[in-house]
Amino acid sequence: MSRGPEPEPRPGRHAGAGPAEQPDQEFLAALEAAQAGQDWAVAVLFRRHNPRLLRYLRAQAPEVAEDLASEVWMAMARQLVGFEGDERAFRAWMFTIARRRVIQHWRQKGRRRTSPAPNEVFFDRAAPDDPSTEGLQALSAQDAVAALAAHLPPDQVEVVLLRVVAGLSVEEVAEMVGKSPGAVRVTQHRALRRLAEHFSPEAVTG
Amino acid sequence: MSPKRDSDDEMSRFPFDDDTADRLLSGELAPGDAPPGYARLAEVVRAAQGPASRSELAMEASVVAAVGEAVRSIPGIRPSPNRRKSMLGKLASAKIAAIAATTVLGGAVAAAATGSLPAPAQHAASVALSQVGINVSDGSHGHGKGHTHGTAPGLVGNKHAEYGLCQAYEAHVSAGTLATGGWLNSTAFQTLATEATGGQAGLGAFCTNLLASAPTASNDAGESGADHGKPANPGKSHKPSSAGTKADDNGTTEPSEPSESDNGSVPAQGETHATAGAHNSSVGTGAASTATAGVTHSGRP
Repeated sequence: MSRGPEPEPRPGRHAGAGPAEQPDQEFLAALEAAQAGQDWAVAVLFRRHNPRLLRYLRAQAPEVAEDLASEVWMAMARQLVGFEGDERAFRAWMFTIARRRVIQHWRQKGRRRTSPAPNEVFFDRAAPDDPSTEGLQALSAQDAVAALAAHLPPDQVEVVLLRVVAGLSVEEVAEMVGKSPGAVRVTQHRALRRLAEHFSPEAVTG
Repeated sequence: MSPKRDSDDEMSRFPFDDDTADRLLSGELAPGDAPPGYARLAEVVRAAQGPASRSELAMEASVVAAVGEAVRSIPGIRPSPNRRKSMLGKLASAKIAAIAATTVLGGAVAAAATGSLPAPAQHAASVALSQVGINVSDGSHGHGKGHTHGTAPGLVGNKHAEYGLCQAYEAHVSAGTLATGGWLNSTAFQTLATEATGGQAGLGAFCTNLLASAPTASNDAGESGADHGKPANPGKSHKPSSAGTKADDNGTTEPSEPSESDNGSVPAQGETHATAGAHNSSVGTGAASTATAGVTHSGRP
């Protein structure tokens, strides 16, 4: 909140870190118009990205998720004119800011300093944490996110949410959380295994 | 809660490779294709990536209004908060003109004064600039001294710079000389394209709007006084000023023109006020658009 700026990479640098995506003309057109301050274009960006953003924030800081989302958008607004990159880079940028806000939030609350996902948050939720016995069709996206987050330690939650909800690559997540890609993969493997055991305890071997 | 196995053991028993893990996490892996025991996880992952819910879009109106307002109000230069609040309104052309005003004017004057603009541009620029008291016709006159920085040319004067550039742009388009003569690489054009429209691609629409909405020069002199009370920007157009208290969130990406230091005292921006800003944005927008309406339209011929 009060720290000085850190020289971090520009969003565009992330391009190519993950699976190749078609340059999305709709996104690029909307980005350009949004950079010129056109509301319709901002709305396009909002609709494309706020659902995942809010999903992430609701999992990480449910009581202030909407507030944090607004702050993320405003932070992006202040830098939007200077943004260069594709939609993937845009997303990475957005979640980098979002993650910071989550960390700041918990830091201000005097809780975890490095792990922004206190488990009690999830345990407090009336989440259907056992989808194996329920109709998955009825599982809302947010409930699914909660189910993913409910049974993991914070470091694994973070990686899983950034990969599943934010849609970031291992490399992007690694850069964001300050770990090596290999370390992220280890965390991710642990998380997947743990989740599989939870969702299908009888079927997971080993 | 803590990992039960050490990493090597766990990795060796993980039933699929990195690529499969990536596909599982990205939702590309169909549950039916998942390794034994991972089908339900794959389903949950896909559910977590499901379409937007209504509540996830509920903030659209407030966020879009606040973001749009903030973007229009944040130039590559830094207007004073007061000026920004009182003058900038909804009309994108007016705001963009203000945004790029000083730098564009500087570039235009410099380019035109040295005669470096190709003929049509030089002509158009000289016409436009002369209307605001800057004589650059065919490079024989000195340029207006203080217009590049510091003397607060204000929205109207700056608008003319853009107006002139857009006239030049249109002239080039008409003459089919847009890509020749190096004008595309001129400082003035680059600044116009970059600062005002975010790229050359949008310049046509930008200029169309500007030329359609811009007041003629002869009528502006009188009303421009209303704007001069607040100096546009103290001449540091392109300094990447990272003074803002919010540099930390934005430090994330370091866009080429970190200009958020103008955020100081405007409603929709302090980090902790961002939400309030979003909710209040309609008020600010209304006030600003009122102010802008007078500036922008009263000068029509």
